[in-house]
Amino acid sequence: MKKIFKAIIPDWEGRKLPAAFPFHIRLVLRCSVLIAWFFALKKYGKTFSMLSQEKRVELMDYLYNHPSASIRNMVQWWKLTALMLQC
Amino acid sequence: MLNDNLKHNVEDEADFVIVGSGAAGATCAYYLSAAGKSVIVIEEGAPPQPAPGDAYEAITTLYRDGGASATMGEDVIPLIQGRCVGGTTVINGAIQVRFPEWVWKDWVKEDKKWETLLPWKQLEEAQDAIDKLLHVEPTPESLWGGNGGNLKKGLGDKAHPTRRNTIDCKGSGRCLQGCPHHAKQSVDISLLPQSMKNGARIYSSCEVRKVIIKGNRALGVEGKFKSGFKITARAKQAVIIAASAIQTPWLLLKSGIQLNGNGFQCHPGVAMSGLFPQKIAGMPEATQSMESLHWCKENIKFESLGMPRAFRAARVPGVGKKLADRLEKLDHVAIWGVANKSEARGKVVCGPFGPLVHYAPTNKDRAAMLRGLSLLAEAMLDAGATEVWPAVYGSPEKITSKEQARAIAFIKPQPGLFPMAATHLFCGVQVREKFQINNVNGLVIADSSLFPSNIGVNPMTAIMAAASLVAKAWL
Repeated sequence: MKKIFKAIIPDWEGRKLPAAFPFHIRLVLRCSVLIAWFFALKKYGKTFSMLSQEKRVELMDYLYNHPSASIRNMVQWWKLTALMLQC
Repeated sequence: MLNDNLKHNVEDEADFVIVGSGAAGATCAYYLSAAGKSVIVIEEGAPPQPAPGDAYEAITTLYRDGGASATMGEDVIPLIQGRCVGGTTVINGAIQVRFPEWVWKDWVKEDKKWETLLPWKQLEEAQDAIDKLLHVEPTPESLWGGNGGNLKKGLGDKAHPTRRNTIDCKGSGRCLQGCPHHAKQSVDISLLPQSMKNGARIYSSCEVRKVIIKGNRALGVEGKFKSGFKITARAKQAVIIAASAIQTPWLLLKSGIQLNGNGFQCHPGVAMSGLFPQKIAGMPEATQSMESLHWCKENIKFESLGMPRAFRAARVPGVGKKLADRLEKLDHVAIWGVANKSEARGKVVCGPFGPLVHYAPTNKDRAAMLRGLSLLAEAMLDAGATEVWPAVYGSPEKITSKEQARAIAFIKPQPGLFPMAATHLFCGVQVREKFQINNVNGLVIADSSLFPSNIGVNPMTAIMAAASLVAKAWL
């Protein structure tokens, strides 16, 4: 999660997912990392963790403007969560 | 008397048991206790602590699910609800807009019962009383700030200062995280203390799990404190459910009650930001100091959004370096919002972890929001913005001309065009005489769950006015 948040907001320094988030929401958020993983493999042939910070930001920008509304929605959700955990 | 998270089982009885202590529940408690009735209020959240210091603390303590609940549909829309004594009134923008008569007329056209249940004249009187009780006044010019002041500049006579329920507002822009100065007259500091003086008993940090029904009569409710201990509250006259347009239908469904009408509606909102040469942040500003109801019949309403940095940052488009660059200029960024009286209807259902809200705006709703964003972009340029960041999929990243601004209205409406947030929730649960549900006697709905449609404006006044008529129907 942290790597995704850092790709969305460079220099992101935030907290962990709070206990105030219901368990199932924390679970879905954690599992959603697989989306970034999948696209990292598809686009660069590497896992998201193996990408350089520059490539991660590039991938996140690609997903932010992805033709699929569901993917764009997911990036918006990550972004909102990242900003909230940082505030 | 406020009883928070008791460490023993409780059995209590009163004339009325009210579930929920937000705008509707507190209003019912106020009017019923003032008339000498005994009242129990049960609230799932805790009493708000002295205003939380930062936005994170506020969101995780005052917001339902830490602000993480959302609708399920083509667009994932965060649902903004308070969960504390005082409900969403603690975390809203203190805006009090009168119930539009044209919406009421639409209700009556659909179903004549509203003429008897919520007569317009009585609603008007109830709204006058609420305005007085909560010290509702237009935002003074000293608190318009950079966001509100520029919205006025951009829209001219079409914008006006919001009417807000504050006393001596300092303009800290922190309404959404619980007023640090107790200037906002949320019901936890206005109506509930008065109700307690009148003898109302409040049990907080206590979730109502079930309505007890015997035959065709509601007898009370069962709930559980956060501590694990149980409460059984019996009602001699009625159980009043005022737990919000999501939790009310959910509680009824969980209690095995079939709902006639479960047509969830809301006002999805979308924000737009624009870069100004002068500093926007930093001066005293009410959270939502300026609004425009001029396009209400086109189902859109505009508001200025003056908030702390953390909340404003969420409205700035982009990711990565683009976002970081824009955040550096955040003090010069004005943020305005469009709220849509959407035609879409959803449904509240029982999910494995709690209520699920199935909801998706229609393309007509999306088109209305695009039109709103287009108008706002033009107004921002008129007010002197050097560039506007629309954050709409399919539009340029930044807009500098009116032609570009107008083009936003012609983008093809489709899911996932822009990030939204859902506020002002309604459900359309059908009620009969004395606001009772179905054929269960003494089971009353008092919140916006009973509104047959959304109303296009901030609903706190309308909810409180309707709740006061619910209370009076039982006196």
